[in-house]
Amino acid sequence: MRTPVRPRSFGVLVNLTPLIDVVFNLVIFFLVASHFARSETVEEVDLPRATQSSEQEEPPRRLLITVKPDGTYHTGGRELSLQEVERALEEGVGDDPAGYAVQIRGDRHAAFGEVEKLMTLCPKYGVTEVGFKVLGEE
Amino acid sequence: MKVPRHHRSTDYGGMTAMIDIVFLLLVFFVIGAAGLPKEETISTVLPAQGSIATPAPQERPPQQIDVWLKLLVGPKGRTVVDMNGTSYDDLKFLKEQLKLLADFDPSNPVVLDVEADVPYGDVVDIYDTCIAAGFDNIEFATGEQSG
Repeated sequence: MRTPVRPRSFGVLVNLTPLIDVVFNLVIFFLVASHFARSETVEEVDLPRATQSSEQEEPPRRLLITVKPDGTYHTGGRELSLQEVERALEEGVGDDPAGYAVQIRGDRHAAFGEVEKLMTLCPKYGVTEVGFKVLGEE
Repeated sequence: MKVPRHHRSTDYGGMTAMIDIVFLLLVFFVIGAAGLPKEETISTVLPAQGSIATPAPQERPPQQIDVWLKLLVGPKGRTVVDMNGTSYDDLKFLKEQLKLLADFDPSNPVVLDVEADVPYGDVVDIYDTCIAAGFDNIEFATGEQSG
């Protein structure tokens, strides 16, 4: 008996649905990851609350310093002494202090004296812009 | 007779579904781990280099007065604010007084003279109150000036 043979179709049939699924998932993942990578909130601190704060565009040239309750300084996930902070500020400022900003993420229980030391360093290198990181109104 | 069928397998062991789930889990944990409250910024402008000195007396309107706010830790361990010689341990009452002063003349310069052991959160609170009251000129006194 002769077996009936179906005519062979030309071309390869590719199911695009899973491919699109994976691509969309990748896009979402990288969008979310890049968004949170920019926030740099590495050190967990209890920030003070304020009513007059705003979500400002982060300056391109800045030094973000976290002040922990015990008065230690942290930058980029690393603990620094005041001398190291000063060196980082000096290197960051370079020859162009205009447009350079220092941002302080201080724990609300930290002594102001530790924050004041950072604020005193700024004019020494010509930095006039200082920002305090806070939590806005709920 | 059984006809042999050319069966082309399209089953890749459920890899696509697995990749989907893994990515969804990754996204979930990334968002979950970073589900922290949004941080905002409250700015101040410091004097430029070389200008940290006792300011020379300037001619100013007669009604203008310096509002000196001295923040210190009181005997009960709470922050006490001394405003031009009057002590306030009730920060709520102080805020009302600041608002009245700002309503009278917002160009009055405010100087925050803070002792080193005062909690940073209280300093930000008072600074925020001064901005909210409407003062135009708020400055921090340095250790040299306050001493």
